[in-house]
Amino acid sequence: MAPSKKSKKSVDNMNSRIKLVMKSGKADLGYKAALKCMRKSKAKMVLISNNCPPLRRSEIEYLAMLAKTQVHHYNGDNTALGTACGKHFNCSILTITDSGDSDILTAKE
Amino acid sequence: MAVLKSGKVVIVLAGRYAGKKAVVVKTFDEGSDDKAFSHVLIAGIARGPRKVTRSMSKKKVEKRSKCMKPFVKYINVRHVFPTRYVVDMDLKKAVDEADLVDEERKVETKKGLKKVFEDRYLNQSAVTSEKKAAGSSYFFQKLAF
Repeated sequence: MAPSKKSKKSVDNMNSRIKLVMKSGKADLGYKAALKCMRKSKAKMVLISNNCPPLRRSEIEYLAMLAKTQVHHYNGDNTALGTACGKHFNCSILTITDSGDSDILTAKE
Repeated sequence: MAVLKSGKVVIVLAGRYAGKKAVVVKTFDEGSDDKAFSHVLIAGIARGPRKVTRSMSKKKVEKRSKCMKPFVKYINVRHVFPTRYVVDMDLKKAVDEADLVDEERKVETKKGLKKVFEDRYLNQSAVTSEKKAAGSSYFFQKLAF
């Protein structure tokens, strides 16, 4: 498989997983919500868009390290992540508190 | 397993003590009677010990190491950033919550705190475990920004 094809496939995989989480599980959008969830240790996974400002990105990564939360750098910018969540706005940081039927937490490409 | 636990070194993000380091003494996850938000009681260094060089005499070193101004504060959890460092000073004995209501007793508490901090700062080599030593040394270093 050509590399470009593979990356497209994995992004699609991620998107479908996010869609499933949105439908069946619980997720929080936004930086403030992410901090709140991680502080309470409610966050299971955090997805960060690729155009998230670097300081904010490192802050979230550090907190996730402390809270032992998985971090996934989403291959797409905040507009793409917002669309993946089915929203009409951008989202730089997506926090998954309950994955529902999705295998997003266990399956790591 | 909360991120903010007592003994954790924390950086204050807002208020008069912004940029200073503190140790979490007690957490109030569900708030309390007068504060309906989750907050923590922290004890920190408002003004750290002075810099010391090799050319200074022992007496001078001691004097400069003892200049430390502590603070005690109830602070909203949002205004505090946890670090990975932990300090094992026994602060629960030094900081008694009942004393924080009255201004005079608060001053006494801070004096007691100063002593605890001083002891730890001067005896940093006495701390055995590597992790705890790293926490102490991080706590007394000024955050550079």
